[in-house]
This record gives sequence, C-alpha cells and structure tokens, in this order.
Amino acid sequence: MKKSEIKKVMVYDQGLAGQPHPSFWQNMAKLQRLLQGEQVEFVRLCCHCENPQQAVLSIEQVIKAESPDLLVIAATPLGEEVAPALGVRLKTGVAAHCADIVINGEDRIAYMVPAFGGKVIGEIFIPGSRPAIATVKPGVFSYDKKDAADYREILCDCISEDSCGLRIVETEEIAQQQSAIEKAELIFCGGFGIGSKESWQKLEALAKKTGGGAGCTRPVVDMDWGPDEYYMIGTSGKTVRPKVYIGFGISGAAHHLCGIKDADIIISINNDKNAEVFAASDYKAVLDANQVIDRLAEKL
Amino acid sequence: MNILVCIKPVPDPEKYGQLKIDEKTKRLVREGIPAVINPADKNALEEGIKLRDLKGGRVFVLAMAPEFSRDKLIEALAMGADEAYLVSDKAFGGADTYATSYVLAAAIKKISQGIDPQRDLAFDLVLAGNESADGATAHVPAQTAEWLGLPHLCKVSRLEAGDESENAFRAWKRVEAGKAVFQVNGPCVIAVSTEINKPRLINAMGIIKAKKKPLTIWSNEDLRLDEKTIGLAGSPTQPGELITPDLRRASIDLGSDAEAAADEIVKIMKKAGV
Repeated sequence: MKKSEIKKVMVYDQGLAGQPHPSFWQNMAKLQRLLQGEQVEFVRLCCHCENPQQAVLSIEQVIKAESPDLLVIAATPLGEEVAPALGVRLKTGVAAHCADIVINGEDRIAYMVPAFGGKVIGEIFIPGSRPAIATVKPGVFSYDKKDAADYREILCDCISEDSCGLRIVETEEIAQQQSAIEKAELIFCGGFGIGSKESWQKLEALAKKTGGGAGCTRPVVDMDWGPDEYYMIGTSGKTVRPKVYIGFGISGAAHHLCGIKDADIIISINNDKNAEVFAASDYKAVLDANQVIDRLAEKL
Repeated sequence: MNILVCIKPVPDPEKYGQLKIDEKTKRLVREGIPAVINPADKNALEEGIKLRDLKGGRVFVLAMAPEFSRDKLIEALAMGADEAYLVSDKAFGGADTYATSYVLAAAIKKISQGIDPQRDLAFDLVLAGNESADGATAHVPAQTAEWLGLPHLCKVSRLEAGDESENAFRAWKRVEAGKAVFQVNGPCVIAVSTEINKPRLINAMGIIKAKKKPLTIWSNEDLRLDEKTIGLAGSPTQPGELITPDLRRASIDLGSDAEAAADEIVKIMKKAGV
C-alpha cells in the first residue's frame, strides 16, 4: 500500500472509554508521526471486553462498517489472540510483533517484523487486502504526550458473552507488581546463568530495594525459578527502555537483545567470556553472576 | 478423547546465531542448520499424550512441511503419538500464517472424515505450540481455529479436561490483570506455552513402536484446494527485504574482580541517575 492510499487508520484499544491503555497512546502517536501531512482520519476503536472471543465478535462488525486501511493492535495477551482471528474473519493479512512501521524508499508502508528470534528483521507488505493489520508489543514505540493529535473515538457495543464458546471463570489479580518492567528506569535481568530460584529472589530483592524492576529470559521461566512470562524480556516478551539494564548470566540470544536494544546503558555479567551479549553491551564483566549480585546487594 | 496436535519442523533455534543473509540474493542462508520439532510443539504433544493417557483415545499429529521432514513426524510417533499426517506439496510453499492455517484446517477436516464421517469434527481438542521459533507470529493456532469455526485460546500455561458430560476444558493463562482461568468448550484449539510441562525424552522402545505406527503423506491432490488459496498466491502478506539489526556497543571491560566490578556498576548507576 502506498502512503498516499492510506485514508483511514484505526487503533484498537482494550482500555476503558476514558482510560486508554498505555499502548494506545504509543501506537496512535507513532502512526500520526508517520503519516504527518497526509489526509488521514485516525480512529480509536475502544472495546473493553476481556474475553478474546467476545472482543473479536464485537469489534469485527465495527471494522467491517468502518473499513479502515490500517488496523494496529497492541500485542497484549488479548491483542495477540484477537489479531490473527480478525485476519481470517476479514480475509486479510496480519504482521506480527512489529519492531517498527516505516514508509520505505518506494513510498510503501512496510511493517518491520522480527524473525528467527530477532536475528533478522523483514519487511512485510499487505498489498491487496484491507485493513492491513499489525500487532505491536507494548513499549516498542515511545510516547511523549506532546505527540497526541486528534482522533475520532468509537465505543464498541460489546455482544453478550453467552454466544461465546470461551468464558473467563476466574481471575486472580496479582497484587501490585513491583515489576512493571516496561516503565522501570533500572532493570536487573536474570538469564539461565543465574542458576537457581534463590538467585531470582535476590534479583527481585535488588529491584525492590532500588525501585527498579526484575526481568528474565525464557530459560528462567521454563526452569520454574519463579517468574512467569510476564517478566520475560525479548521479542516474545516485553520491550524495555530503562536508563540502566544489568544482565546476569545472560547469553545474548537475539530475541532477548531485541527487547533491550533501547536501553541507554547495557551492563552484562557472565562467566562465559564468549557470551554473545557482551558485543551488544556498553560494559561487560567476565564474572560469576551470583558473586556480583551479592556484592551489589551489599552496596545498594 | 481424540486429540490432534499440530507440529512444525523448524531450523534448530539453538543455532540461529549462525544465520546469515546472502549479500547478493538478500535471502537467508540456513544451510547446515538441522531441523527440529518446534520446541513449544513438543510441549503441545506432551500435553496431548498426557491427556490421552488420562482419558483414553488417540493422539494424531499433523505437520505441513517438505517431505524430508518425515523423520520429525516419526519422532513425534516415538514420543507417543498414535498416528501421523504430513501434508506436503510445492504448491503450499511460501505460505504466510493465513494460507498455512487454511491448509492445516483442510487437513484436519479430512483426517476427521476418515475417523468418523458422521461427526462435524472427530477431535475433542486441537493442540499446538503457541509460536514457532522461526516465524514466531503465534498466529497459526488461532487462525486454524477460525477456519474450523472453533473457540481458541493461546499462551495457555495449564490445561485440564472437564468431565465427559461437560465437554469443556479449563485453561489457565496470564492476562493483563493477573491470572485468568478460562472455560473453553470443546472442540477447541489450545496453544500452549513452554511453561506448561516438560516434554518427555524419546526412548528406544518408542522408536521401535514408531516404525509400526501409521504415517500418511498427502499432497494437494488429496486435499484438492484451489491454488489461489494456498502457498504464496493465497497469502495476503508478502515478504520484502531482510535486514540484520546492528546491536553492537562499546563493550568496556569492568575487570575480573567482583568487588571492583560492583563498585563500577554502582558508579555507572549513580551517573545515570538511577
């Protein structure tokens, strides 16, 4: 799709009517910057259904009636379920987990999508079908309130959950998490090299003490050392942009590096002198992760 | 309980460090990287096998892949699946998730017809890994479900089957607000994350048994799908150029003394204002 062919851009927001989800501002501001000076209508489609099937059934009709050219969806647990379903229902393409949205040299809109764990990023075009759908992980686009311009708001009438084969039967709220890592200015991140549950708890304690956040990589989740996927940083987890990121026992798989590339300062501790993470770090130390964790605990 | 598990052979994710883009062709060079069953798909298979052992029934595995991927299906049979299906045709090549899920859904319907032509769908549950290690879109399970008209849930970290009379599943999933338990009516498609279980290792007995289990290979002559709806032609998304992001930084060494390194880190933090 050429830039000049884009007339209507819709951002789906799972937040409440008067309380947009943070990712809404990020995505809307990004699209408005990208299409500045063009004759484009921007629309916020607000639907607060938490049940993904209910959300799909509710917003599908609105999207059909509005027929936007672009539809951007935050890749939250809900958005990740809704976007591909809409792709099939609306017979259109979906670009997953965009690292960027750009207008390329040919004036075409390209969704920049990571593959092979972030080792490569490929252009994805959706030439023939509308809307061209993209999902974007929260935090991928930065947001400064100054960017926000006008948009039209549509409040969706949610259909009844009775017509769904899927229902939420229980929600266990998680008490105020200290690990809102997307917003943290300081992040202590643990990888496979931390080696144990105790070490993860030490990282959490460091985060608590300093007002920072604790994050991890996939192996720490899979080894059952404490955190769940919500703490995971990388292409299939969170994108973070702290002032200082300190990684302990992290090898540096591309999908993790993709999630930390916007950090101001990256410090990495790993006892493997060949760890790939070192090349992508501002500072490195070839040391046992736990030794440094313990020293930091004394000093902070 | 009949369970179908979708699996995908992918280049070994442990070796993605070796991937390069050919300067001339701008294509990804993946020679020398062996294929494995996509890690999360092994978790899906493990979950399917466990449920079958608990509730009775059979586990079917399905992959859309080149014919040389046959050995990955045999591996799935060796793990404990009962029957395997491979759909393989050059015409399926270049498919995005939309066209891939369309073929998978067609294959699932055809397998179902073979089991019980009287039922709309002879499966109570379709399982898949949440995402593949290579493309990692996490689209295919939900899209396959949509083609089949089934409810779906992705990123499930725990799964339980209800009583026979219920024909429903309870699925645990992390959502924005916390942890949610969903009731999903069967038949449905559930995509599991790698947290859900530890896939079993294959033993010698499994390998011997696998050789006697049925493995069917279908091409598009069997599925008879319109060529406009499959492969690259049936894909609404089209790939353009590939780039490798340059993430290099200064990599200043903080030395090999933990005490001194920690002091330096504290200094860097203070200077950065955190």
